[in-house]
Amino acid sequence: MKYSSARERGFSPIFILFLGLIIVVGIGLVFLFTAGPKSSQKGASNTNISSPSGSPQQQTNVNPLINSHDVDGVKQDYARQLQKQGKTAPVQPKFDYQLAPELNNKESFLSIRSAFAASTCSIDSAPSTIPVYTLKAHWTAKEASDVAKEFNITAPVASMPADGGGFQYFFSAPLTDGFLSLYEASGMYTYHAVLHAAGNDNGLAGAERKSDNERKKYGLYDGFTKLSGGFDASVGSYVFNYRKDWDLFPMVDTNKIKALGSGSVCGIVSTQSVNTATLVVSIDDKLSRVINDTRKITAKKTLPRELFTDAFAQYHAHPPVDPIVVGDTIAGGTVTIDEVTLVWYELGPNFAQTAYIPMYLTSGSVVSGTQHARVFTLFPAVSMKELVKSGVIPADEYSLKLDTFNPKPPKPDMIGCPGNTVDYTVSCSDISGGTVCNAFMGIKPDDDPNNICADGCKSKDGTVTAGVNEDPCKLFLEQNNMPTNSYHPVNPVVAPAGTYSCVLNGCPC
Amino acid sequence: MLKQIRIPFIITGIAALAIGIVFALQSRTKPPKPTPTTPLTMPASVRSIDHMWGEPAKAMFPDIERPVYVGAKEADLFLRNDDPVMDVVYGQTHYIYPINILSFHHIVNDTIDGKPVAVTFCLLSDSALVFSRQIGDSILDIGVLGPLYYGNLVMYDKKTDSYIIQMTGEIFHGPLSGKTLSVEAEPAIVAWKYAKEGNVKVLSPAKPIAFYRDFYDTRKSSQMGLQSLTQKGGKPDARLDPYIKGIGLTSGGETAFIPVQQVKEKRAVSLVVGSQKVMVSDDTQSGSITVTGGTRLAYTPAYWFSWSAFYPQTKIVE
Repeated sequence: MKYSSARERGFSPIFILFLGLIIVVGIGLVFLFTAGPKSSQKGASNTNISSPSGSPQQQTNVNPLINSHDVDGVKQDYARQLQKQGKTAPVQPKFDYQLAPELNNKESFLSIRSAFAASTCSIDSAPSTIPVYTLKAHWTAKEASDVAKEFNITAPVASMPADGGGFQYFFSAPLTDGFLSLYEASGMYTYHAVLHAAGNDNGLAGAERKSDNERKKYGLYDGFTKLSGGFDASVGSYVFNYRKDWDLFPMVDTNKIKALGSGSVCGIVSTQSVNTATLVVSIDDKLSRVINDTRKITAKKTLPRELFTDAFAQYHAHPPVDPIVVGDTIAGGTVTIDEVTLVWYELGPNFAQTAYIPMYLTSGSVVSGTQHARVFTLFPAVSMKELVKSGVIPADEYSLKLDTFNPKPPKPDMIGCPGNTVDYTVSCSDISGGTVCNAFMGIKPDDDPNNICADGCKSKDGTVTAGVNEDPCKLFLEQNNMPTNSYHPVNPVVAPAGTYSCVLNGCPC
Repeated sequence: MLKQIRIPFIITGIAALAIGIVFALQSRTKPPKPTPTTPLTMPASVRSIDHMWGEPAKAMFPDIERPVYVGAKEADLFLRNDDPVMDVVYGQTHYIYPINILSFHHIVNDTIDGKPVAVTFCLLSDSALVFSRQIGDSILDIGVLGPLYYGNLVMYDKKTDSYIIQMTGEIFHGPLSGKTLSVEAEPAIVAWKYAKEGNVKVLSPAKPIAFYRDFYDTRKSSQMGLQSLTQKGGKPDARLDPYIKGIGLTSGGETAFIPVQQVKEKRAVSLVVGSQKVMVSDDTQSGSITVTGGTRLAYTPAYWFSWSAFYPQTKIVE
């Protein structure tokens, strides 16, 4: 077969140029159409979306929640190392997402409502605007001192390092041999008095009345519900646990979501480990502990709720919170989301979260070969831009999940013994070396004749002569000018009169 | 002729290549068995009994000599989900030591899988180390001496009355002076709720748990540790805040310190310590810091003031 050129066929050069132009434009259009949907999938960029209130919101190309740290490779390496040690490697999944057909209707809010009705829990009745709560973070020494005063503690402020980073303000409470410590980052605090396990047992009802009265004093009564209450043998006292309730949606954390297992997200209830308060009351109705793990709300803003489909389009390529996988170990693939509900979740760095914001909690299935898993993922239900604009979160807040806690130096230093207590042991033995008494006791630093807090551990030994069934330990304490009000022998001494060898050890820690 | 000479070279090359591949595959499939590690130490002569703060007060904090372990179900009766525990892995078994119990007793003398070990924890310096109790043919019986050394626990061998620094394993006083305990395992500190799954053995309390809770709550401040350093003429290393918590690592004559905050911000940090490539990661699921990678590596959580006092040349991973 012989092919002839266009010119040989009789086409003019202008026609050929025109044809070429059409081909170039055509190719360009093909590229434009094929590339367009992909970019809108990734970031929902440059698309007008409707809020439930009906006002369109312009989206930006920048997702303020996406963290640029790429640690996927490091995570995989870490997982391999753990497996070699026989430990369970945490799965760091990376999924693609798609919506089940019944969740993919985006024509209007009303049509979505009707489409959602069959399978989406409470979204059907969710309001078009949702409150967002701003939390107080980073408490000053003055604010911490004001809390201490509520407990009649006027001691000067000190500080101590906090578990997990940062520091706690610390106030000695000489009246109760205890202390109050308050996290600088969150304002959560513990009031600690020495446990009283002795005295008359006034019963559960009396202890609960005491607990309620104390809660009212410290702002832990209104809006709280009792989770549990009763005698706790491990502390020899009555322990009451409460949680602050939230309107509209449950407050959840990752543990609560994980506990769903293969269950529906529709039934999720608030976690019992967030916004809780615990009070411990001794059997003779003395307040022993107030553990306040609630956050102080400083502002409430009502913002338009974003449609789930819009939130999904915005964040599905980079969900701000690591997905939670339950079932077989699957770290990739396409998750088909088939359920969605609304929850509250903490926003901001660990320890100093800045807001409670509503999020869509989704549940989806993923299959890899013969393996099946359920994947729970969170998508913000209000515009992050709106949150920044309304001052709920600072403009440089980038992540829901990463700890960017910036601890301040713990100053001023605390002087004296931690916990306002000096530890002593006293023990005495008979001539054959058998121990006749042995006790561990704590005393106030001011009552310590040996100045243990300033000088460190000390030890003294000697002998005492005791009468029949007389306690040589107590006698030895008195012989060394030690206070005996903290001395409580476990069992009464049953021993003949005689000389006993005793040792007294004191340490600050 | 030239061709004949080349053939043996080619055969030798192929053989060397094959051996190399076999070795490479073996090293991939069989990770080298971790060997007990001796932490880097300064010469024992540098340590002095004069640096100890306080006098011996033996039996003040009795070590546990015959530990009793229970299963997870029973442990749930005395542990709360958020209680911190020390997780030590031997084979497929996780030995769990509640921190509030350890903060009082400090030391558990045990024999696990035929190995005499001492599980140790110092509340004031936040250091957690598991040592072998064997030195030569001798098995040590380790107790709490009472005083502090640069804010760290001082232990002693009950048989020889030799004094041991917990952070370094150095024996600096007594008949065994100059020797060093070897690190047997590195524990992870996690919340009980993350440790209860699988094959676990949990240290049972020897006293009512309320006693341990009260003790831990009241004394977990570390100010006394810094006080013990400064009162002996020590000065905290000004490169970091004294109370910064971190992970201290030693290997091959080098030491490094990584603030926990750094690890949490970056999620994972790679570094080289003593030619060992190490990765320190934040396990966001359990909230614990994990160290992996080194085969001759010792590490422990620690407060900066205490770690830097023992290892003034330590580098800081920023």
